[in-house]
Amino acid sequence: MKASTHAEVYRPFEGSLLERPRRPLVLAWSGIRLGFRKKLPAFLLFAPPVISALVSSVMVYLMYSMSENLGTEGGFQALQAQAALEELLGNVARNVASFVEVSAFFALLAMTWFGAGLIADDRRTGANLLYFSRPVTRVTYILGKWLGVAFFGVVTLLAPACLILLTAILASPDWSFLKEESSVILQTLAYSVAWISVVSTLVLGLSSMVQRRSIALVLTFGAVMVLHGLAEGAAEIFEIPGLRALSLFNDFNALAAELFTYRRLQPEDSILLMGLVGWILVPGAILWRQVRKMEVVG
Amino acid sequence: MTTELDAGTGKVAAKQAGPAPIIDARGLGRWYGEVVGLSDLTVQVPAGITGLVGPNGAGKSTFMKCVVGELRPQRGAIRVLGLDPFANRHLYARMGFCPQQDALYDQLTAFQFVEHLLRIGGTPSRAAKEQAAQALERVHLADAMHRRCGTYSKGMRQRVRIAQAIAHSPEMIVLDEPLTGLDPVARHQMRQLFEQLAAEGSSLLVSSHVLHELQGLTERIVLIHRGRLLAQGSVREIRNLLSQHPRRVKVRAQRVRPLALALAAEPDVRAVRWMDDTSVLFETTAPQALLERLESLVPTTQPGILSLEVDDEDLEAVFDYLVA
Repeated sequence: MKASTHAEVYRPFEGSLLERPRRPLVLAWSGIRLGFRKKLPAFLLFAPPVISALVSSVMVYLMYSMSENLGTEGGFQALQAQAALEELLGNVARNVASFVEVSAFFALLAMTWFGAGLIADDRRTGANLLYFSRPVTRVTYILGKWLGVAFFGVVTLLAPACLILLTAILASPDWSFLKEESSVILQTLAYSVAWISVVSTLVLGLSSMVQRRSIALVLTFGAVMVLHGLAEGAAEIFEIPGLRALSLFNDFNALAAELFTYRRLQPEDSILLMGLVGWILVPGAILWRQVRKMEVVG
Repeated sequence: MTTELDAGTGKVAAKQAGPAPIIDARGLGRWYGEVVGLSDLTVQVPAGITGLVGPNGAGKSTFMKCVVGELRPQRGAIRVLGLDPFANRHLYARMGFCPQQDALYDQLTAFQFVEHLLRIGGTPSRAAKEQAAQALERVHLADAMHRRCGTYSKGMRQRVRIAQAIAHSPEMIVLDEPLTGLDPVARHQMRQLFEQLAAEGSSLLVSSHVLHELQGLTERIVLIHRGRLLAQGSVREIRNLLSQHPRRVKVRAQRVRPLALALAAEPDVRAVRWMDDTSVLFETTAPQALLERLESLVPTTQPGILSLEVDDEDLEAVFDYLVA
């Protein structure tokens, strides 16, 4: 086919494209790669949970191996020592739960630090124009960015927790941890996945509202910290315990209580669990709306 | 394609002949609140290189965003390569878009950035690497492609944007002000690249707010202004319009009246307008002749000239003329 006023020949697209390209993973990978460009923040944010996980894993290993050695010896003293160790071993599940709760804070820091700019920077530079002039849907874009943020949560929370659990499984005699404490594994996974999901959505939702990473950072920490303070204060002043549901930390404490059952579930915990749903729905709706605007200005 | 001048409106209209247009926009309307982006824009763009020209705020970027499916018009319809461009993933794989916005990730290298976008488009990993390298070579960034974009000059960043638009050998390439920020050498290189791409069979829609930027690159120009099609045709036709367009010469002098009376009698002077006691505005189709005549009158009339201003031969002047 000849163009009407030019000598050039019209050429249909001849490139080869993947049948099922993993676009969300490609998008996520770019976010991860951008995050790891700065080494110092990565080190500072990842080192504490990783070190803590290593120490905890070594302790779990030692406890199980010592227990096994004591089990082969006889005598009253050996039985006493074994009882003492069993008391300690009985707390492995509790230790894992505590570890996950503490590491969750580091996960929040890391995910906010690395994720705050993922959409804000796209908006500022106009990179979304490049994405949406390609075969990228709104869902693909959100999923890709979400996976990018979630990765940092996995590295700081889920992977270290899995390391401790794996050590416990492998070090326990006759796979006793797996047989007797398998619920701990599921509880830990559930808590970690819930935390990562909520924080990823929150970070991206707030990041999509602004055009500067720094503002997204402040917004995210502000939303978490200020709302926690407000929730606590308002609950005290107005004597309405349900207002504590505004705090992300309170909501996750309730979830931990529900999952790990190390404390009695309080009556207001159900409201707090509802609050958790709000923490994912509200930022999720913001994210969806903002990305819709970025995709096609309708 | 042929072009003709509408005597009533002064607009140049193109008469399309031959193959179906690659872009077929009919009655496009788009507003940003009370600001008009596009207003009843009807234009057909055939294969090849087409220049989209208009002053800042004319609606070029709005039109281009409609073409690449990023902006939905509130009125009218648009077909690109025979397809509806909105949420049409198959079409996006066949198009390349270089936006006016910066759009780069400073922390990634140009190679990583282009490869990333190719993979997003669905190109397999190995092919994406090869195509990214080739595209960056074509925009003369081979030496710097493994440097972070954050270290690039404005011109280099512009080249990266062009590279990502051409990397997957699309059928149609939409380039929004691609020559902005480039030095003369780079401009020349990019113009050569655009010609090569067209010779290879890609169709290009290239926008600019400066007409002469596109001269030599294409004969086919679409002029838009305030969201409307003002003229469509060859550069020659547009230039002819320019020559028919009366130019304004403003003279400020201590004694301007005798000078004005003498110059008003000149054959090329279409109108004389008094601005104030010391200023007069001439509209003429031959500004150079008017200036020469003025120079010859100075010894006899002793006007005491304070200043002389002549309209630029820019698009705004043509637009003003056409719109008026």
